Amino acid sequence: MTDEEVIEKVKQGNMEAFGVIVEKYQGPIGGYIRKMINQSNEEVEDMTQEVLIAAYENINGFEKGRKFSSWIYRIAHNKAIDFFKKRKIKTSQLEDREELLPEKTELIEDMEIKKEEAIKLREAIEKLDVKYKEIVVLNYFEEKSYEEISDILRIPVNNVGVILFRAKEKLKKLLS
Amino acid sequence: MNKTKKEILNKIKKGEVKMKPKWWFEAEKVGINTGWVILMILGAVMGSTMLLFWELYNPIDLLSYGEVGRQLLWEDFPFWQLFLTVISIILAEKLIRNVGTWYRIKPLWMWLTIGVTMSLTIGVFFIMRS
Repeated sequence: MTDEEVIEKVKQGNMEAFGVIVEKYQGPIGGYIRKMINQSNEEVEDMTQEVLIAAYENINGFEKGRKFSSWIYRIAHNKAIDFFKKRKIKTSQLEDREELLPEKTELIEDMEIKKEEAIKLREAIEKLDVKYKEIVVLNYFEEKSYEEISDILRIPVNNVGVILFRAKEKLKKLLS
Repeated sequence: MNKTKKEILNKIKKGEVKMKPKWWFEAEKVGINTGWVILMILGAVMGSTMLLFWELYNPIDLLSYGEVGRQLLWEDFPFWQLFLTVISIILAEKLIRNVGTWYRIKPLWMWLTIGVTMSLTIGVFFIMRS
């Protein structure tokens, strides 16, 4: 059964069907939030729950023909941005936590760096501004397409490539 | 059943978490679109007032009169209209950026919107002029 079919059941009042959504998205959304906000497990779990609850509350606002995963990632993105606004911090000011961004061969290849420099790369990603960090996280770690990123961040598809290019340039600068 | 799933489903069952009704989203959409149209019309009317001012006063010509020209321009300049033009454009853009789906608009539609707004501005200008 597709997400969209499950959502239709939820809209018709089948609460248990929402459990399927929770099971499926709890991990990916939690992972995305963890990479974005770089906070303790409890904080990440709380925010993940907030995202899933917000998804349930706003489920009637989900329009047919849209991709549910992009829609729920959009909610997660909004929560992450709210977090930064409330705390008035940039990602570069967050405390360092180990292994928050796992090695990603594709990113390492794209950045044309050696595998040994992966740790430095992870640190560099942490130092990026939210605008660049989220696009790197969505593209390389959540493996979202340009169209999906465009839907999540509400930016034109063409801009996704441009921002990603700038993000990689900034990463290269940070690494050098 | 994992902890998060259990907690969320419990909250739903207890009624602590409720789905917003469909009409709420429909009303929101109508509100956003109406707000956007009102802001664009306000921007067009105020923008055409600026055009009218330009035609009536011809600021470049007026400035050539030195201090008297500058003072006259300063006293009669439609600051409120300029302020409202800028504010309505900024608010309309913010409204669409935050809640709309402008990023999906194809360039043709974007140019059409700009064209319609400009035509409206010029149209209102000619009506005010006559």
